[in-house]
Amino acid sequence: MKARNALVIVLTLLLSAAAYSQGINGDYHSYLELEADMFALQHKFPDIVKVFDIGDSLEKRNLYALKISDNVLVEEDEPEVLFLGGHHAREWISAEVPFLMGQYLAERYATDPAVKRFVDQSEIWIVPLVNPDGLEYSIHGYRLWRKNRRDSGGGDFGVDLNRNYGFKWGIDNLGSSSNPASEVYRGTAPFSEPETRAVRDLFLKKDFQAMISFHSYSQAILYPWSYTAQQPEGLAALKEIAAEMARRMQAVNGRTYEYGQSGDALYLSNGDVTDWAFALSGIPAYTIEITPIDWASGGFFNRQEDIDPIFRENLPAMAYLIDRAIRDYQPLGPAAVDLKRRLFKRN
Amino acid sequence: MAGTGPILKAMNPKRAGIVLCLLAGLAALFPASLSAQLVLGQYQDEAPVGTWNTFPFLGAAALGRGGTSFSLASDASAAASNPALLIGLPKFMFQVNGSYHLAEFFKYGLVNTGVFKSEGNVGLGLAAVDFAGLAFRLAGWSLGLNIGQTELFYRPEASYEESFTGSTYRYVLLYTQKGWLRTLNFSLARRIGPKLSLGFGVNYVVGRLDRKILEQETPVGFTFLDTKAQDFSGYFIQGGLLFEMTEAIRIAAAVKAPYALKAKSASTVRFTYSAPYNTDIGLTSSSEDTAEQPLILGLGVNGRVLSELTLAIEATYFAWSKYLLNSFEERQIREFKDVVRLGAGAEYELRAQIFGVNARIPVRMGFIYDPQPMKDPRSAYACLTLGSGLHWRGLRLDIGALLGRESGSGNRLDVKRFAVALGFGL
Repeated sequence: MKARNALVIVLTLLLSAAAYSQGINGDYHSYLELEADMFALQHKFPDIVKVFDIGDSLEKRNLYALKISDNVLVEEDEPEVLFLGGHHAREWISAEVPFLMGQYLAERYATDPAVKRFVDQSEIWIVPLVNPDGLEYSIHGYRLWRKNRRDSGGGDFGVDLNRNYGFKWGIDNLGSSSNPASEVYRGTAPFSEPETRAVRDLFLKKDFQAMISFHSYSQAILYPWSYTAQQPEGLAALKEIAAEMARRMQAVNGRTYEYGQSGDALYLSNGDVTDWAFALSGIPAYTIEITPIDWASGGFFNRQEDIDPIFRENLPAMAYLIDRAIRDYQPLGPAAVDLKRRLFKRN
Repeated sequence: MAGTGPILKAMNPKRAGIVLCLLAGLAALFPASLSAQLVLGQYQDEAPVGTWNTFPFLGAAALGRGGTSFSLASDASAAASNPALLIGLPKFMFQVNGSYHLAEFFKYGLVNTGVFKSEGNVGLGLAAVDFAGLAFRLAGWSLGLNIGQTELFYRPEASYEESFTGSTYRYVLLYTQKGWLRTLNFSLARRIGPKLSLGFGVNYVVGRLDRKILEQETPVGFTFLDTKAQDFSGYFIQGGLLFEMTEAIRIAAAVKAPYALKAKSASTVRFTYSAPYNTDIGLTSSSEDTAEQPLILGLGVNGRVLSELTLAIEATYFAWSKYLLNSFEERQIREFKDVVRLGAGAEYELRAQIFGVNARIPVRMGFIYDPQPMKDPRSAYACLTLGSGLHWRGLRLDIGALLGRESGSGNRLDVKRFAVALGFGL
């Protein structure tokens, strides 16, 4: 174990040398840069930051989760909140925002009482890059690549990871596609992809009280259901939280984030992580579509200098969700966790 | 989750999942054949056309006899294989070589990797004057100076266009890649005993690789331009020996030292949108990268079994497991294994008289087994070679042809090369 720790430290230092360098993707993170920065954060704040390897991608890249909490090595009876990014390869900004949240919390823990409360009283989990293979292809191959790098044969590649989760997977061909050439190809089965299985397994091991999955673009806050325009149970609460997040976000840069039920406000999609998480646990689960508002304004392209302002804009939404999770937290206990798992198997 | 909807609304609803066509003219060079899984080597941008194993440069004569070039010297290109062979060349020799390559691709760049899709293999034809060499003797030394185009990085161009009758709207997606690597070689050799000769060469390598992706709507809409350029340079040394065991049997060994091929890389990614939006978002970067090239060892033997017939066999070891590539400051994953290429060939010499002067007409044939370095899937080319020539007075004309087919990937990629060498020796 000591040898392994030493290896991790050495790797961390070596990789840190490459961190913050501007590669082909400028200030955005590549997979290796993100890996280096995550371990550098752990190295710098070992008491409150821990990097977990939660699985491997198809091309054998590690999938990392960042846990931020006091007593970070201990599973405490505290609310857990999950932030996901990088499901879609070309949405580079969606990996930056959750990672920067982790960095923000770690760096401000000692000086910012609000941050200290979050870190002390909750367990914040961040998976900034669900689709590392796709991101690398987007950086080195085709910038507008969306899916993972599943070779479906005959020249078709990729499964849309946000159509591969297990709730209402493939319920119709409007919200996803059975065609491997499609940009919204859902895969051959629910959780057919190692990347979605890694997120699923993390989710099932934990007791998340809230979740945001970051995407771009559209400048919108979306809540379940995505697979249908029918209203979910608890719609009022979902809407109220979304409205408050939007209000707080607008106060930062003046940008308006529209909010609404995904399947009603934007378009139908089935097998997405937000529906799956909401169906499984009933928690407030959101998709935030980061700015810009449309394709003509840049679409999947955000200026490098906008990365930090965009993070600052999304920060209040994440903070609000953590705050609510702490305020509303009622421990579920082991029996409820078992119930969750049984529910999952049914789905 | 997001993206598909908005981008399709803004760009074109037919983009998602559409089967894109490759440039028909190039595709027509080869008939469609089987389609299957990826040959990793074809996937990589830095892979040379045809084969990863590009050492040594093969002139027309060596090509015709199964690529055997470590122990047999036919022309000035021998110096690029094994510098010790310089001692067997005439006192003065000049040679120019031209080649026409035909190679098939299935997965490469954006083609059959998720963006463009072809029904079968796609062909590419490339013609070039690819070698010029000089060999001469000076004060007991044999010297050689030559330049060869040792690797080509060209790919079949891929494009897709869409327009509508009665509308000025036009959408285009274009992918191109081109590039080359040239090696300037200076070699010298000396006989150090009655049976043993040694040779040494220094090489300067220079090259360039350009990739471009253009995606555009006109007259109103977006333009996405992605250009990547790399300028290569590097030095390596090589050496060789030739041992004349008997009058009829010669054994040779050659080595190409590992070296770092350096690259100055530049990238620009730019998204613009026409008025009234006037969006303009760019990302430019540059870096200095290296590709650690592998050690290569060659061993060859030839024997004159009849006065007119010479047989040759050789093996070339490529230490591809040591190959490392950094591109734009990132280590790229290349799961390569060491490989041994085998070649065997025969040369039968006919004699004739032309205008009362003796002429030699070599007839050559051979076979090459050329395994590729990718671990998965295992892939190898099997090639038949043929050649002939005319050596009359000091003039030397040689022609050679290679016909090969790949197995292992499922794509049965064909490769062909035709070479002509014209030289003069005294």
